[in-house]
Amino acid sequence: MKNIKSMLENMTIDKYIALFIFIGLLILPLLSSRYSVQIFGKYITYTILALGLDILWGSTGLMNLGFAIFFGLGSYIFGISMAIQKGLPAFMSFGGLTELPWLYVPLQSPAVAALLCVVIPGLVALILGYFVFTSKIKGVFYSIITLAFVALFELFITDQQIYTGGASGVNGIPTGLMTLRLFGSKISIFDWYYIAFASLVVIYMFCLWLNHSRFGKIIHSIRDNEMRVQFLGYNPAVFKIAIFTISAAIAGFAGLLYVPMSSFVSIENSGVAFSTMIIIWLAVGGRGNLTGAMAGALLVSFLQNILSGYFGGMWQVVLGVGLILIVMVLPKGLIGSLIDWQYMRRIHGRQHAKSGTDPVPPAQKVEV
Amino acid sequence: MYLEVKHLTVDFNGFLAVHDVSLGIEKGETRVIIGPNGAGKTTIIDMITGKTKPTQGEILLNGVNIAGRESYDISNTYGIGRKFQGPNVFDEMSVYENLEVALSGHTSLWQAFTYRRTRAVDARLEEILSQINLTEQRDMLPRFLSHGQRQWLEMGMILAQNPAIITLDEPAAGMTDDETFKTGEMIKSVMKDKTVIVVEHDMDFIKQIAKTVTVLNQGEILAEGTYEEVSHNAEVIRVYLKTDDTEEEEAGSV
Amino acid sequence: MGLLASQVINGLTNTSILFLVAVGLVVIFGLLDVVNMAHGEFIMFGAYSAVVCVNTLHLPFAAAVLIAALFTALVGSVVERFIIQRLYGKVAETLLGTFALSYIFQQLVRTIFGPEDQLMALPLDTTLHFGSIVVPVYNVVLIVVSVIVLAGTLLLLIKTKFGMQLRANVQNRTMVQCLGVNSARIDNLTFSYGCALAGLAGALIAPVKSVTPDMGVTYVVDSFMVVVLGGLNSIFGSFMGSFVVSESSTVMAGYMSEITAKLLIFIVIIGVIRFRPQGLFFNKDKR
Repeated sequence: MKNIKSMLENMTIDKYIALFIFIGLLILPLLSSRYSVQIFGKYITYTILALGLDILWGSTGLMNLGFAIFFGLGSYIFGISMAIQKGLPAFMSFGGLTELPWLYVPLQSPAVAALLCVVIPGLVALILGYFVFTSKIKGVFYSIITLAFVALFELFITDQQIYTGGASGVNGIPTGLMTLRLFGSKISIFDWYYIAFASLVVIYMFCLWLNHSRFGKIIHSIRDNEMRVQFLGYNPAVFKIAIFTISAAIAGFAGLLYVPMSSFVSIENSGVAFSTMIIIWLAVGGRGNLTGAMAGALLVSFLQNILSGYFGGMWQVVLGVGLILIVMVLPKGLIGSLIDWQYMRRIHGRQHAKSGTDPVPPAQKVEV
Repeated sequence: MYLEVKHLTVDFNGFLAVHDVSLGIEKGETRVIIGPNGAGKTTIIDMITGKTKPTQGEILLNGVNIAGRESYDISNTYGIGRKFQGPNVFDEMSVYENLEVALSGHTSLWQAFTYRRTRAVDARLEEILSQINLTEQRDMLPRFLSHGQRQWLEMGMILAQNPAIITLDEPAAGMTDDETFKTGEMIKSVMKDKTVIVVEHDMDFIKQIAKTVTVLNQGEILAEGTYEEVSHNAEVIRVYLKTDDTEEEEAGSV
Repeated sequence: MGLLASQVINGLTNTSILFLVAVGLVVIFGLLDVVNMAHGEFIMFGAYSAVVCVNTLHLPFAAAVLIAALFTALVGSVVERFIIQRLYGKVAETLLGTFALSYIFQQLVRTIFGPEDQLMALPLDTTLHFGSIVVPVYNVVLIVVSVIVLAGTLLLLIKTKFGMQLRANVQNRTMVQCLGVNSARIDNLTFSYGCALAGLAGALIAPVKSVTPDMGVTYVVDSFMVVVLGGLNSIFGSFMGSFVVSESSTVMAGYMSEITAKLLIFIVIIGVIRFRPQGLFFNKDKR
């Protein structure tokens, strides 16, 4: 009992905000239209994606400028799986294909496709990570390589029009979605919403556990002082590859959930521009504390929706200015700054009370 | 001979930071390496602990050549722990957590996921905390510790690693006289069954802890012997001791 | 044989374009350690400036190029003074700040000019004939200008007082300040110079490449790859890097799809930096 009480006393503000977000998302479908449910369902997949980047960038310090590639892989795999459920989709047959490419045959099974949405991105991260992290490529160079990688992915998808739908994307997805059955009945958008919501909560808990585990402490240490960690006997490459793979798998899963929410897959959510957007979510919300990632993703996406309605394209200017302000005034992001503020208050509070040990602040680091 | 350095040389673009150095350290010995700045002391430690690869020569631990291996390999497999010049700890974790991360036997990926903070682990960490005088500061962040306390924290991390060989790079640097003395006692008591290599400048501190002293100058060995022998060695006095003002009086009074 | 020869010459043209586009980044990333994600947008500014000068103001092309370079230098100077200056040493913040700038710049241009490709006539529309090979004169102009820029920048850095101060500033700021030199002003001038080079590149490529608000995006990635391959702070290295990348991709594109060529080049570059992270021509003395 004493443990729970001290836990609640020491609970940082980000956990409260996370709870608030979850409650909000839980009751949302009861208060809004089908259209809103679909939009917020999409936002939930964005928060899952943001969590993936947070454990990679916020916790381990690996700033990945091409993270959308894993989201894209997940959404393309499931999207194509849906598109081929009732025969060849338009982009393939117009391109001259008469039968399904052998690579896509396993995707005819939605279950296999779902599995691949997690496995393929993980595998790609494993290979790329192995290659990059066992070399002397560090810091900014890692970021540049990830940027180049996603730029190439974008080119590749656009080029292979017959297989991917090119710039027009994958259509014919709704037909495939109609064929899916969960416990015998069709899956409505509400069902998908709650599947996504449940996944978000589970993944959040997983990431929370990860950050507090020994593994979490080690990746935090790698972020803060890689050399010291090596001299304690840890091989940093192994841990970096592990976290990269895990984060990619989470992103791939988010991509899978994205498909029913948007019924459409294209390079718009898999390329350079979207990768930058994910980075911006974390920059605005804060990194390393999970809640910042979720809040940033929700806030920026929501604002984008509203403000682009009023300002049209000029929304980008608003975003740019806001981002510059955050970077210069609140470099730890909104949630990050709140956590700091709360910590400072507690320190001063304790100084007036009996001198005990200071509350342990959450680990936050602002650099790359 | 437990740890043997044979004809160790490292060439940084033509600059021979360490040139043909040979040393032999017995098991359980406390060896101090002294020398002016730039003599190559830290470079030798870098090579023993895997941070730098020697250009020539061997480093034999029980007959096995460990020269050129990766630092995490040397730390893990061969049990060599390193304390850096200037306290090098994890600023975002508490004192207790710093020690916990350093705890030996949990450095593989699998162990990172299956680790549990058992009673045995807690007991061990509490033991180390008392050995380094930081029991009360267990949940504090390093930035709230004094400089000397942070040095002790790093030494505690080395102890948690449970290495067979400990290298300490200027452990008393920046400490008050009182802290320096406590550090010396710490090394003598807590590390008495380990093989310890210390790089230092502070002569009083060296007198407190040293059995054998190796003097380095410009990458080469100048002299070797007990503290008494070395501090009376004419060559050493000429090259090294005279460059330090407080020592000049001592040397002069000899 | 004729195909190969004309591919090689095309490669040289592409080398020049890539070098011109990347050299500004070498100055900013290599010398100031600033990851300027808005580099592409400065190129874009140069292109649009040239378009306005030529199409609207009916100025001669040469004047347009100079005005473009000056304009982007000015924008760069303002950006450095108010934003970049406060973020030196903070990589993530600089990256984010310059990302933000690229958003703002792109949208401003899109609002003013619209998203369409701005067409600009070639200032010199003649071609040269070498046997069966046809080479547009403008391509030759590009090659010549890029060599001039290479030589000029090297001369600036090595022979002039400003260049010396710049290099000293990079190596040892405190010392430079002790010598009474305003290192903040040198930072600003260095950054502006890098932007000027980007603007120059944009103006020069405006007649031959598409001019759209988001044209900068491709050039950013390519520039970084060239800089990383050629060696972080070596101007000559970025020229060689551009040469290697452009020549091989142009030649290969004759035999395979452009994407495949680009993919292979990418893999090769990654391979190179994996084993030689400092790039091919990294200048140790400059660090």
